Amino acid sequence: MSEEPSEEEVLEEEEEQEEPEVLLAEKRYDEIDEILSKTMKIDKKREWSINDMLDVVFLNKRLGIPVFIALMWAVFQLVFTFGAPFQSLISDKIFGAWLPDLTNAVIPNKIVLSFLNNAVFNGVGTVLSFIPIIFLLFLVLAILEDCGYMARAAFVMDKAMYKLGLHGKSFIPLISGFGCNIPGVMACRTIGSEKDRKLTILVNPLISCGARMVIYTFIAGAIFPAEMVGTVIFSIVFLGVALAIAMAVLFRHTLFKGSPSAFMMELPRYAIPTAKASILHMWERGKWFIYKAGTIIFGIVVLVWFLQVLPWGPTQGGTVIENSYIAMIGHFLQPSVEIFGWDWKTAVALFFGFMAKETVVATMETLGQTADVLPTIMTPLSAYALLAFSLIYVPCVACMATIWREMSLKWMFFAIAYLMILAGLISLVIIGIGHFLLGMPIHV
Amino acid sequence: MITVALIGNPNVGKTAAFNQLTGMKEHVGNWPGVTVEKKTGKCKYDGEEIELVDLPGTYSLTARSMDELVARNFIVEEKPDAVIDIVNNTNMERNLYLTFLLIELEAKIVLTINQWTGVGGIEIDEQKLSGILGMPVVPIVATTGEGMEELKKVAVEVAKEKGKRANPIDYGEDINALIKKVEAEIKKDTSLSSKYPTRWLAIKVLEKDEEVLKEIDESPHKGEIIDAAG
Amino acid sequence: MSDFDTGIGKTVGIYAIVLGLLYIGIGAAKIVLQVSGIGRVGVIPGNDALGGLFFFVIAATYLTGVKGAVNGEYRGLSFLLGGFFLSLVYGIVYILIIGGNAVSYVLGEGDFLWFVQFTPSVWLFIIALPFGYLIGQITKDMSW
Repeated sequence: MSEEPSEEEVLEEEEEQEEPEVLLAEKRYDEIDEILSKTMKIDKKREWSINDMLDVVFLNKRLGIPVFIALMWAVFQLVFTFGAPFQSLISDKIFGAWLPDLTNAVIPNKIVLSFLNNAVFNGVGTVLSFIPIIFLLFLVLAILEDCGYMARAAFVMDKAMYKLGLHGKSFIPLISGFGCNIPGVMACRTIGSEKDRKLTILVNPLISCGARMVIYTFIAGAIFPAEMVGTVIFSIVFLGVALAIAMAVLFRHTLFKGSPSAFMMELPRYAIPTAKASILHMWERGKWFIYKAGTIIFGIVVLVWFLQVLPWGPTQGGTVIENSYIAMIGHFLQPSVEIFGWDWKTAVALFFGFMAKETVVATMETLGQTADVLPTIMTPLSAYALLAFSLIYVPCVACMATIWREMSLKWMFFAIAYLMILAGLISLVIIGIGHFLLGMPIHV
Repeated sequence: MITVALIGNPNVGKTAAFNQLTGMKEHVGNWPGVTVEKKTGKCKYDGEEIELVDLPGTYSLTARSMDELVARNFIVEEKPDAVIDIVNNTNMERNLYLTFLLIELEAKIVLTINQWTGVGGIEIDEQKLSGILGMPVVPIVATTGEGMEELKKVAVEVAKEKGKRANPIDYGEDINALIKKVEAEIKKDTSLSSKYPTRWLAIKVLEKDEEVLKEIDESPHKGEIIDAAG
Repeated sequence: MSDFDTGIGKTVGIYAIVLGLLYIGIGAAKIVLQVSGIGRVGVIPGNDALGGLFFFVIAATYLTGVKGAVNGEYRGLSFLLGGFFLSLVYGIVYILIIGGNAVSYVLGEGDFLWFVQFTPSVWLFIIALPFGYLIGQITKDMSW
């Protein structure tokens, strides 16, 4: 029965000095074999099953990884191209026309109207409009997990990563990071060795969580042609995975020297996922998104709105935004992002993005940088650099707090520092290649 | 009330079985001192209240990962009245390895064979297996809940039986003799032998298990034990 | 020693060659059209070079299994099943996208031209459907 392909595969044999341990393990397996030969009968017809056939392809040495990437690309096409009309329905129609029309007609107070239009409808409303896209992404990921495919993807990726000196179990926490980095960081607990666990935690923030998908969709959707959006987002997500692997290799050779511990992985059988299970799975991952929009995002949007309309006199009730407090903050921050071609509003948005990544979009919207306005202030190159920057710099306060809890305060600061430096570096490389080498503009 | 632990390899259907047994009413907390999730639930059989503790899914019980250590410490230190060890009929060879480790821990095991629906062609002689291993064997289908009442019944029976243990594993003459030698030294330290199964300690000393070696380190018979292990 | 009838094995093998070549051809066309800047030609989009690359992956999956399938081996047939699975996923994704675009059009945004919507992923999937049926016939007695 051990001949069954793919049910289990052992990547590395135990080290040689652990002789008695290996010997004892072998004896246990010998006895198990003997017992099973007396008590278990396997029908010969079982030699090939659909499960085995699928594994031949999905676990194939050469095709396994390309097939995984091809499938992920299809997932992004589906989520971002198919989901886009539903997103614009909510943002353009519900929060962009119907609700403002209603409130404009009913509410006479200018301050309340400004608050509702800028902070609530534009700010929070835009974040909420991404529900169809985010939930669709989570649904597809849930289906891929529930049908047993994700474990195969993790397996083929792990094999490749093992060769790079990374721990075998690293990829599963990385995949959890696609929902949210917090469970991703926590999933690292399943990694036995402390060194490997710390290493995997540190690179997890480079995996694009749902909140960052909001930024990608918002900015890519505004700047790039509709049929390119899926590809642009795919490339950014891919960049994140590549950076996570690259940084892990770097850390392995500097901070956490040593070889990864042996790992063994068992693959679940393929199954047709039930609608109920997948939807529950999606909801579990997605509910925080709605919860966050109502709490932290709303709070920050209120703060941004106040900073934007105050002092009330000079800003003439928020209409002359240049005189507001937020403009002061923005102009203070802007020189540091000048080279990327971003204006002060983008700088402010990135600043508030430390709290939660969706606030980047919520802040931009509150400050009037809607999807219609974006193409007039950002070129495709500076937008792409912004996407890369958003991908890399610290995911959010909550994720950092999780790193603190799972590692230590020192490591949390280390994570913040390396992510900030890397974010600047990669964005510079993008601008460098695009602007200085290829001559693409960074200003409209 | 009796305490029953649930253990098994990842992906054997342990969570499904736990949900079937507890009817989805679970209490989630953390294991003390570590960041591993602890799930408990309750069920009843024939008036007897059963507290179910879901141990982390593991392949083995070494000291190398938090999950494995948590599972092992619970069995050694809390001594649950019964341990439901869930294995899967499509992967018996791999799954029984954990069962063997549980036998060494002298846990009171109910071997539970979960059958995947839609997998044909596998026949297991449960009675014979039960006889060889010296423990009850219960077939279930975790996805549908088939066999759950029987499982509860057997778990309660096992919990009430005192002193009965599964048959020890035969490691062959040489290793058995070595284990015996180390065990004899360990038995001299009564504080150790009252706390842990001595044969298990002996095997772990041979395997150079970090946590067990730490315990041995504090023993007055440390030198003899290590010498015996060679 | 073959696992199943080599007659039907030859049929699906040749069918897989045709599908593989189609995916390579269309994939190459997608890449050439975008890189050269020519843009859309008929039903082949001109801005999907990356998608073209993934067509090569689908083609490679089909072609890897041809020899084994012709010899009536399950191992080879596995790749044909895998190739069809990819055709299916790509087909369904782009059919859903047509649906999304229709919603968009109804809401008064964008155009809805049939040849723009009818992407190669969709019609190659339709071409592969009888192939999928044949694979299903060979594996129908196989356990899951």
